[in-house]
Amino acid sequence: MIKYMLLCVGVGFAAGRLDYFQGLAAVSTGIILVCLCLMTFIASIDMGKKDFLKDLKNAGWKIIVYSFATIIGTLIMVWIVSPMLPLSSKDALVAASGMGWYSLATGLVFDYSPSLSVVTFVYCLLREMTAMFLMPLLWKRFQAPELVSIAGSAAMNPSIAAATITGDQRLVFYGMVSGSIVSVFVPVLVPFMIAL
Amino acid sequence: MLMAVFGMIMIAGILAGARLPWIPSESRLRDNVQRVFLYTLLFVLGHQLGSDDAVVASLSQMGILGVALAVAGMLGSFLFVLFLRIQFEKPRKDAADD
Repeated sequence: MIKYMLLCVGVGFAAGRLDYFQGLAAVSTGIILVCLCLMTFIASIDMGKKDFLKDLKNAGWKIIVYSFATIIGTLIMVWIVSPMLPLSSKDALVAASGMGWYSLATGLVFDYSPSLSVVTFVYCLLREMTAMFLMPLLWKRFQAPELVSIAGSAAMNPSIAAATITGDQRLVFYGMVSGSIVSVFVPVLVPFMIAL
Repeated sequence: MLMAVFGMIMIAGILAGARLPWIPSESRLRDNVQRVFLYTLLFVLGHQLGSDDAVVASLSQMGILGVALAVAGMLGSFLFVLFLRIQFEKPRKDAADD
């Protein structure tokens, strides 16, 4: 299935480069939204069938802790790595604060530095895309909290994709909750890091 | 706003799954439909990326930095959450050993 997923991205990318399906650009946001809504709905039906509400009660406060750990872990590791990059620690932290929310973070960083906004975009996009492939690959050895943390704020899309492949609907739940919590902090974190 | 919409969709789906007995627990049709939406989503994401010249040019110029930050960010969050989960599970295992 991962081969087909890669193929879809590759064919889509090639079609975009070759200017095929030009009309798609105008409606792509709507298509993405509709696909996500319907995939979420179908995944939720599976969750309802598997008595997931009970698991929801058991999960509780730990998900909030994991969400904060996602933010802190990201920032600490980027700060550690930043001296090895041709980028100041502050700029690295500004870009990393996007946490995967490329539409918002890129715009927020653009006023500060247009070139850094490109790095932010690539970082955020890669985080989501990589998580989409890594989550199913690592699923047998690891569990939902750490798998979902890979995607940061963009956890919802990869989680739905991973749940589709693995059948583990906990990923959708963790992705929704963790992604929402991390997303709340992105509009605050990016300006905070810029102001440092 | 978007998160609220998805939250409501999710609640509706869970309730439908839990309360509507005529919806089967396992359904090949549901799985196939889900996959079609996934492939469509990936195709459109790839198309969006490929059709934007500025993004493609930026990918080649700033890509390495973005990759490095993405790897560091993903690794950091993954390891920290993994560490916390193992810590949370420790007492349970100790109790089970007793």
